[in-house]
Amino acid sequence: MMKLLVRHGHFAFFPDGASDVARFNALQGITLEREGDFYTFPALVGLKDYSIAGGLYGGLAATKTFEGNPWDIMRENNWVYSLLAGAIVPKSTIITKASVKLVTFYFVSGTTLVQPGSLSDTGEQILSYDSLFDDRANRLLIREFSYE
Amino acid sequence: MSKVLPATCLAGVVTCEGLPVPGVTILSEGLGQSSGLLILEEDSKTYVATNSTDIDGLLSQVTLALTDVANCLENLDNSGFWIAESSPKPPVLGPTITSIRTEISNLNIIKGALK
Repeated sequence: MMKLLVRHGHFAFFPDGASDVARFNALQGITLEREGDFYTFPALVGLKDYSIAGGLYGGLAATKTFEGNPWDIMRENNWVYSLLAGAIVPKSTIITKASVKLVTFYFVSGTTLVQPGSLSDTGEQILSYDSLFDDRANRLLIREFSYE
Repeated sequence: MSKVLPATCLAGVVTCEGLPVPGVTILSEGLGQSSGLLILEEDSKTYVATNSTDIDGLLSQVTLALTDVANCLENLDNSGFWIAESSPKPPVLGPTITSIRTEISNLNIIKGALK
């Protein structure tokens, strides 16, 4: 099991076991990279702790001047990480619907990861979630969602 | 946490990384060209001019002016210019000129020691 914290469209993986990252990489065909005390996608590595409106940030032109963690800057600029594009994108471009179902005390995702910005059953954009990635079953167990 | 970035300011417009940054609180007049620091803390933006560059420029101007005065006095004093036969015969301004040149040296020392 590997903890996955998605904050305002930013992914942070917190491995517990020695093989967590390697197994995830093998299952997903990608390479998570270390960033501080967590692992994340290559496009989210080395992001600055500020954005200047009009300046490039993670490949996109920032709309707001803001100082903070990358996930705070993504929130302020209305961005999320796109699993499909492998890049930061405006959250308005995400039009997929989240496939999750409630199982007793938690949610299970119908896809391996839930795309931030995708819509819930009630039509709200899921921007953050707290979850565990089950590498044995290759599925995501979600404790809670947040729409901000 | 806050982020401190080098910036410039002219006519109330703060520029950082080549981009104008609107909505910045400028802790000085902000009218003339200045270099300084943009301090970001979440969405708060503050510009502080580094006034050592202003003082450096001011000292340079004062030094130049005093040098001109000293040179002018020296030229006049050495040209043998005097008003009347009864007036003291030049050169008579040597001590004054020496004093001005000492002040210029002192100003250059201060300029070199600006923090």
